[in-house]
Amino acid sequence: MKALSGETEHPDGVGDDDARRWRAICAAFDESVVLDEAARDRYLETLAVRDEAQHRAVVKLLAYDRDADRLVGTLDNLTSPPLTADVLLLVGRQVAHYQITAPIASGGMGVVYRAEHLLLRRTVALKLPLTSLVGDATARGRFLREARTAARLTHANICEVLEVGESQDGFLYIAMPLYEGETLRQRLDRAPGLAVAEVLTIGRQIAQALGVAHAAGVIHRDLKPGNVMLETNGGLRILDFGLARTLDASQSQLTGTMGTVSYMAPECISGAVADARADLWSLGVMLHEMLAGQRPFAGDHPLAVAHAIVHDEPAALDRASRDVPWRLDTLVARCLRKATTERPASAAEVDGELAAVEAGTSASWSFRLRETLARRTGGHRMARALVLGVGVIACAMLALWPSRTETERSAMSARAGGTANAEAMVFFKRGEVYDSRELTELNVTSAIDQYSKALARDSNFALAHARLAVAQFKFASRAAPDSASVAPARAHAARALQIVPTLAEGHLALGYIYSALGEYDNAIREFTMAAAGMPSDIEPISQLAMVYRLQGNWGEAKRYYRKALALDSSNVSTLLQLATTLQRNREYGDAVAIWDRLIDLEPDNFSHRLVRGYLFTRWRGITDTLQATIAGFPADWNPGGAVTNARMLLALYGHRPAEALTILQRAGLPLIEDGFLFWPRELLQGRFYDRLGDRERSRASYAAVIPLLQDALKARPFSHRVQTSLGEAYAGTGQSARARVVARALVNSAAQTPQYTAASIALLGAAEIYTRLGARTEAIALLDQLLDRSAGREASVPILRLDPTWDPLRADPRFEQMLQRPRRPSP
Amino acid sequence: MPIDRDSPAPPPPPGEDVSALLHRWGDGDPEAFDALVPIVYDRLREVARQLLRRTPGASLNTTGLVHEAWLKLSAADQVVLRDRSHFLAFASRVMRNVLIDQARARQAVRRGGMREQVSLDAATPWLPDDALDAVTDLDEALRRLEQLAPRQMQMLEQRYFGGLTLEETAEALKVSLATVKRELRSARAWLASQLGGDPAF
Repeated sequence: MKALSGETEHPDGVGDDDARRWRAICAAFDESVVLDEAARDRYLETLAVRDEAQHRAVVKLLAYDRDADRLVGTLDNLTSPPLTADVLLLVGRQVAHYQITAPIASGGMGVVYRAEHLLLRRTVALKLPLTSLVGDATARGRFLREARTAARLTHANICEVLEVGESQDGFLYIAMPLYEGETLRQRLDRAPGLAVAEVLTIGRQIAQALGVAHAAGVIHRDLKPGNVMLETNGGLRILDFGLARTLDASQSQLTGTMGTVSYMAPECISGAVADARADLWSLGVMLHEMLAGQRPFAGDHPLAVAHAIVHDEPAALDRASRDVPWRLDTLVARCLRKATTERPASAAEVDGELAAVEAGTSASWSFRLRETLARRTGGHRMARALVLGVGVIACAMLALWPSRTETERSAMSARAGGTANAEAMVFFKRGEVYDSRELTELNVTSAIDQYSKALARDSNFALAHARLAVAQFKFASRAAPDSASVAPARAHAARALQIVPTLAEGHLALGYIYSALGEYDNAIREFTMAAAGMPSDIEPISQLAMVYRLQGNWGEAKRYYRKALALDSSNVSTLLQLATTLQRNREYGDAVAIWDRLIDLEPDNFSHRLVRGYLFTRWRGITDTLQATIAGFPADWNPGGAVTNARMLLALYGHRPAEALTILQRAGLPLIEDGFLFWPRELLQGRFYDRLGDRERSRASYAAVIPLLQDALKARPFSHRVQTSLGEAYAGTGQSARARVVARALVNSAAQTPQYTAASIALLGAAEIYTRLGARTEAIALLDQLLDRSAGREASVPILRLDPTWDPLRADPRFEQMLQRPRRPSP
Repeated sequence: MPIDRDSPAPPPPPGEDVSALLHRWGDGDPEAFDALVPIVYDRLREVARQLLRRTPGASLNTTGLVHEAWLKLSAADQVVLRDRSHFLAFASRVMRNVLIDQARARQAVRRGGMREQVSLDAATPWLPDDALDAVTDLDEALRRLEQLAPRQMQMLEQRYFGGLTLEETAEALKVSLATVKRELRSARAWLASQLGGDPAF
């Protein structure tokens, strides 16, 4: 072993002279190699004169020094492993510290093997991407970087990455736990079309994983059933996060197998910049495939599929035969919108919608909150709601969130209730940033997190308590809030006020909570105190107006809206609310004036014009204004079918049901809807055929819509509109007993709801059902009651005369007596 | 003594570093050698990886080479290794010798020598046949440099073929970092001239 000892020996045959000479050459080399070219030439000239042999040697050495990299490169090439070796033939071989035992799967991106960690003796899934065959150092670096970023994701539905690395022989590898199960691809191949419940479970898990990844800035880009592992234990894991881009998946997929291009978003195919919404598209395709048993875009070869994705509308889900809830159908369609802006905004929203379908609860909170926000910022949706004959229902209890300017925020921090703890202030500020962002579950929970951290630094930071209370309340509002779900928010609001009893923010938080719980008197007290503490802030005043409005106290509501407008005369949200308050109070002339102001402020918002047009039907019983208004609309402006609906109503008001039917059929809309209204095509068909005297078709249409409505009712059990439609459909199919049950439920509900407008809608719905059943006494009594209430759209004398819905009552003298009875003047 | 994967060596007692273990090993304590395994294994693999990368025709199997070198190291006695760097330098030399031994043995077989001379499992395709000459050529070149300037050869061996860092090389040879950098440059240029087919100086 001595030869290996590292001790140097003096071998025979080499004289000390040679060694001395070499040392001299090296010394000259060392001196010259660090010089610049001119200096080196001068040095070498001198050397040439002094010692010609040494000069030759140094020049040669310098030349090889310049060339060493190339020669080393040659060396490298010689030592490179035979990378052309087929990765499929690696079984039995070793890659890094893994012994490969069996292939598991292979695909466009690489091969997955079962392998054993040599030291840990752990069995893993070892993925060897095909890039490993490409000697491109940049691509390899990018792959490793992306894979490591993705490896940092931790979520129960994201495949864990144990290790990412490069073996000495040039194989890139990713080691993952070996999950037992099958991929969604295998599952679908085995049994196409899954039960809705299973689709929801799978879809939610994928959406949740995407939410976490997107929040971390990781986009999957190649989401497909082959990348979704359904574990035997019921779990689900998404594989290959973030790898698609590094492997240029779009290239390989377009030329590769058909299964893969089918899930790509149009923007990925056309090479545009893709963001997280590309993953939502892929999820939409998968949902469609799981529900329908086939993919939404078909073609004979990958390029045809790609063309269809970019240019064609997705195949419709056969909802009836697959028993797909309407809401799920809508969600899938939204995911498959070609414009990314028309898709759901986030994976969290998709998950929320899926959860809503799953739980059969009312509209998902993010959806509802977004509705609220939309009303606050533009009023577009609210206007639509009014157009379509719906009052503000559950949405109204979701307060309009303050969106504060930087100046306001700074002023607030300086007020009493702040903190001297710099760290706490930093967390508080971060919380405010999340607060000011779009209302999503992630932003709200992030705000909660930051405020909680601020309070961990300074538990007496009253403002943070108050803001935390509001954020927690927003969180509780993702479902209908009750006293249990708002308890944490309430506790923090109380704590804030314990520290600083006059803290306006604290009172504001309590106001929101009471308002949501329907404790309107308490809410009014709190908002009044908040208004006193922040006199220049529009928020508490708007909230007061809102609560008064919810109570049906139109006089006070108007007073506070006017106060709010005194602070900001161009506040669209306030103007909208004032306008609707006025028209509910049947103060149509004043309402029209406000709508005119809104149209001035937002001339391109056609919703304002549409509502104004409708107003004349209720105010004067005339349809000309509405007719003229919609005639001036651009042909493609028809959100949620609002204009189609107006045209149909005009036809009906003009006693032209055949025209209404034609409009409906030409429009091709499955549903007239927005956040609140729910008029499936079949319902309207049943109604129109009924007017046309075609009993058979009417009955068939109503029969077809019943399951849809029952389904919709699971999703929004408190919607008076859906209940009314269901009652109408029962009546239209001769199921009188059921129709009566629905009508009575509506009347009961009206008696119980603290919201005035919601109660009016319920009463009107019950009156409609009774009318259809021929129960005139009940119908007329309810309408009489409604005319005593201040609730404009729901019942005014002119609209009751105009609307043929009430034609069956006209023969009854009590109907005309009711219309002519003098009413109490409005407050 | 192969590395027994089923019963890994116990971790070293607290406070016991590589130097102490090496000292105990040098004193004939075989357990000390086992205790070295978990401490230096990764680094040894890196050394082996570099060595294989720089050795013409050597294929794959860093682990195999490490294990083979480990066998030889554990069988060695009367070796005094000062510290971790010295140990790594020594190990890199062992590994290179493993490769060269294999190349020589295979050449001998090819030229009709005794099969028994093949010390390694011939079924392990570490070196393709056409790489054998390149390996032995490199070895010849290093031997010539060793005769001219043994320290430069060691530097080349440790740093360039053994994957030791510059610092480790300096420490192993007990010279300054600047010396390592300077002497490596001329050594590398010299090696290039030898492999570039221009050996005469």
